Amino acid sequence: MNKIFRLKLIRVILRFAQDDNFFVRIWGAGMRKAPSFAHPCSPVCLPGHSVISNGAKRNEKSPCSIPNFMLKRFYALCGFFLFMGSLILFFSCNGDHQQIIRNDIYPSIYPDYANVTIPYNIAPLNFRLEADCQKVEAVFSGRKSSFTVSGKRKIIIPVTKWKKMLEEHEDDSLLVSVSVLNDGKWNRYRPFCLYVSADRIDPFLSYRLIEPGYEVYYKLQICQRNLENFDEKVLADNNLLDIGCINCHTYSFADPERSFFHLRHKKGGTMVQVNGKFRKINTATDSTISSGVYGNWHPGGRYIAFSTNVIIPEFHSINNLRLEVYDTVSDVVALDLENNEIIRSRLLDDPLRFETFPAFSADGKRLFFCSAEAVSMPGNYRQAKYSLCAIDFDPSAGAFGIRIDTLVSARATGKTISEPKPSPDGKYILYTSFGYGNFPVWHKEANLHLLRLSDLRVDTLPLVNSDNADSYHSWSSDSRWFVFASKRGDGVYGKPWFSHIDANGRTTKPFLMPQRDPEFYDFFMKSYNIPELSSGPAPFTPEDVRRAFIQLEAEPVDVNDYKTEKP
Amino acid sequence: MPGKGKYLTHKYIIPVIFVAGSFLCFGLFLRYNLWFREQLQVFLLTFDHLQGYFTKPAFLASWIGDFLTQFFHPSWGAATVISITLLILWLLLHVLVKKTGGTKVPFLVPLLPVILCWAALTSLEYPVSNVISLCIAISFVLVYVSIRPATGRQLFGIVSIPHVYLTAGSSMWIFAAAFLIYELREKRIKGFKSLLLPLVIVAIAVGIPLILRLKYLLTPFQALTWLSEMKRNPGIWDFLPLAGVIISASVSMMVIWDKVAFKSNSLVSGFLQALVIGAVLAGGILKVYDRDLEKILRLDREAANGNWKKVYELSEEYELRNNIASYFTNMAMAKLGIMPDSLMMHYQPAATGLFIPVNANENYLTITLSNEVYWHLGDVNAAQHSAYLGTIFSPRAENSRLMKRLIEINIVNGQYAVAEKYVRILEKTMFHGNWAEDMRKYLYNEEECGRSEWIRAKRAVIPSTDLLKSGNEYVKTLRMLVQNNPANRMALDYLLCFHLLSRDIPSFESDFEKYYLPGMDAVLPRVYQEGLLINIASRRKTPADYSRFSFSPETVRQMAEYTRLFEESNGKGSVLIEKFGKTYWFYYHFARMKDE
Repeated sequence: MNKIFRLKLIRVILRFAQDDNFFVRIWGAGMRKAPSFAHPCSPVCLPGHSVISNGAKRNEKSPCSIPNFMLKRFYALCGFFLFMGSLILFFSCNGDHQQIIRNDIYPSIYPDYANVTIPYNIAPLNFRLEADCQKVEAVFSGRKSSFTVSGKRKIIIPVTKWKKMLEEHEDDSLLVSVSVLNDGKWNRYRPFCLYVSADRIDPFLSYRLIEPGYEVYYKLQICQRNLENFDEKVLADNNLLDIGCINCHTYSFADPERSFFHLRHKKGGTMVQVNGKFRKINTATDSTISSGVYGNWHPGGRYIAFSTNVIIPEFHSINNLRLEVYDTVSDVVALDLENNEIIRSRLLDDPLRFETFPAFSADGKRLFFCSAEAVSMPGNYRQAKYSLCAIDFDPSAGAFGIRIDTLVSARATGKTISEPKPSPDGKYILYTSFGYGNFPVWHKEANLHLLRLSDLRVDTLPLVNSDNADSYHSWSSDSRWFVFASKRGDGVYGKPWFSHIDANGRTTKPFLMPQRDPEFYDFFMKSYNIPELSSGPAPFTPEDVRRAFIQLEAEPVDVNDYKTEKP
Repeated sequence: MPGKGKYLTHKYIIPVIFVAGSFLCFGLFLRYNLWFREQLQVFLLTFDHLQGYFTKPAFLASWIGDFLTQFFHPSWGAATVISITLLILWLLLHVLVKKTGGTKVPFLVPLLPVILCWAALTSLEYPVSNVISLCIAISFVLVYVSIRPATGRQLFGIVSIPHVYLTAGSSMWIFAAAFLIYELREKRIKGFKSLLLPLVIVAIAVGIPLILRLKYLLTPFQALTWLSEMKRNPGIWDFLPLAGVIISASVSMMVIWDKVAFKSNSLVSGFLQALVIGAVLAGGILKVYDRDLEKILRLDREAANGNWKKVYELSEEYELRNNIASYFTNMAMAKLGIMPDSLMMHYQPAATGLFIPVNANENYLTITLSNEVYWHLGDVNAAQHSAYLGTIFSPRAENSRLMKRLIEINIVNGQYAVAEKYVRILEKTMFHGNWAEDMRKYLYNEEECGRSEWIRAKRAVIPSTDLLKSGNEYVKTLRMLVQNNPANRMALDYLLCFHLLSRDIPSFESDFEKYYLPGMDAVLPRVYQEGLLINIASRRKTPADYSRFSFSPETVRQMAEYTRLFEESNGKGSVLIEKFGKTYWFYYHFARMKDE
């Protein structure tokens, strides 16, 4: 038992006769559990309880008008029982909670889950204290239930209790009250909220794991994480693919039955997966700049829009910058998977412009892409600023329109745009905005912006963005969640963060993908690259990919020149 | 009792000699090699770290091996660990041989695989975990042969094959072979059944790796031959110790030694066996041991400690003709300020002695060392890139030495958050924890950083203007460093020497004119004089063009003599080498570039 606590208690007992408020103090200090009737998001404190705030004693008097002598008797009676109780506790408990110091600040926890909005089907948000402590205790309370979790420094939430609580509190809030034991004293921090959204998040997230070696890889994996628990499985491993480079794994609007990724290898190609079956397509032709690079699916599943680029990675020499990836030339094309045909447009392979990052609209009738005036590289790399543009697309004819619209002009904003991702409900485009160029990953200033397509209003998402690169985003199938890779924190390792967006387009403070061990990210030495949500598990295994890689011959493609819609 | 004496000789003297021999061998001749090996890993005694080992076969052997490799850090730690590991291997084999072949088995039989391990361990890329995996497999065999009832033993054998694979990787073949041979020897099963068990053993031994490879994400070849993460596709030499154990166990089981008229304890047979052991050990070490590598790693160790004078002295003593040795020699000369005077006194393999290229096909040595020159030149971003690449290509994509370098780099760059991440990791290690704790004081503490001499020095040479460059644009890098900081003499010397070693006199002259200021040295350094005199000799320049610089009359006289001899001998190197072999003129005329 804590020696100091015993001495203090003896000292306090001696003061018993002179102190009317003694029992109250004991009661206040003995409050271990947040009352279940406490309103979420309000400080947990009963009227009349004495608490010490930031080390300073503070009494909050009851507003009741009961006569003083009665109150004293009542206190004395209660006090007697409490005193006896305290004695019992003294001899039976470890006495950790003899005094609680209340701090009006939020606890410093990692990951920072304070006041975030979470889906009701997310895995437990385990966290750890930033600073060392003897013990930490977290009370999770909602309107219908509560439970307490304690640990040495980490809060590992029991999965069943968490699931039950989240299901009970769909579209409601939870209050998390964290207390920390240090030097025999408990500090209770300002409770924070978890807002439980009734919008279910797509339960699977795929991503590429890669060391932050900038432009070089050795061991690469595409993995899939079940967000409802902590299960992770590998979808592709380049050890089985002769150490080839595996590029972005892209679903068709969060549909796991349709995805593709590039396999850069002499026996590689674009691996297109439909219902678990692979095709290997060689998208390189003599008439296009390169094989497909950045791509996105057409919602109908027949087309994939690709950029074709000559990409150069180079290094900065000054200490706050790392890598710059730029294109010396780039165009946009569409691949017709039915006819194995590359569809071009003169408007999309303008030699005077760089066109890249194509993405079809949710209805499949438009193609969004980024476009910049071609500048000489690398000399003018800071002058390469991409606008967000759109061109019509006729899926039945497989033809592009004859006019390009500029939705967000780089000239007007002074910033560049990359990775436009239209929401599946067709209302928004989420894109990355940053200083210059088209590759935001090593641009600290890279932020996500949300364009409302109905009125072209841009939301700069201040709650979502950080002072490090926020990029590589993708939408959930219901357009209520988006995930992105952010280098916030250490500035080097990208991690997946999720944010909610409501029916009015309001976004919330993002939360980091939870891990079974909250110290996981402290020791993890890889970046989460290109996180993509999907409504179900991917229907293939690494062995399927290996077989496709070895057994399939890459299908060649033809180039159907310059089909355009008639004016 | 003469028999007792011989028994004692075999029981105690051989292991004692063996342990002492291996201890001295590894302690004296592989000290720096083993010290370097420890830096290729970051071992944490945590559950999460342990979990990482389950993703590949031989998890137990790898984990124990990596745990033990930590002890390579202190002096003589590696020698102690390795000699004890080899002793354990010998003891296990000794017990196995005794159990299966009797006491008359020649002592050579259990010792031979250990000798092969000894030789293999002299290679940088043969980890101690491979020896541990042999020990694990032999332990399983020992348990297996101890089981008397045939059914129980066979059942244990069948169940053990996957377990040996999980814990010891392809050392499972030892167990499978022992299982097969032992059961064949016993010949308890007759008729069809006598064929069935061997078939089952072979099917399980082949099938288990092929099934588990789907979990481990290995190719069929990798699954069947998995030794460790150190080498995903090992060569035939890496399997010699494993083959040695299989042969050893087979020999002891197959031959009924009690019936063989072989006096294993006689003086002659002892001498012959000792001869074989000596020959195998010598042959193996000669094949695997790289003496130059040990010297290079000594240079590296001295360089890591900042003993540049010692590095230079050792370079002079070793006279290695190796680009990595030249890499250290050149760094030491630059640090000591004697590079342009002494450049040609040492072996110069053109620019590859100044910078080490990095790619996936390089070995662990080059990828770990390549950042050093950038760090010392002051291009911390390039050093960082190189350190990340080195980490990526390290066995488990972890490298404690490079992690330390990344901490230093990020402290210098003021990127404290990522530095803190690495500090936190290293703090959990056994032998780098104190260093990491010491570094923690600089995190988010500009005042403390300002007090540190090395941080101040590095920050002073960090480029202030931005430039884009690819990984191997050495000239661009060096020019950028000199332009940003004309006082960065090491960068200037590297730039000018790079041109000279590339035999690019016009670039040398151009950068010399641009960046070398009169008065930088009282007398123009020798190699610069020699380079500029080529310009005068070829009449591209006149002496008046270089009147601002002071040339040594002796060098000018030598140049005249060199020209005369060169013309008289019609450009014959053999005539010039004795007198001018260590001049730049000779290098300029007679050095052959790789692409020539």
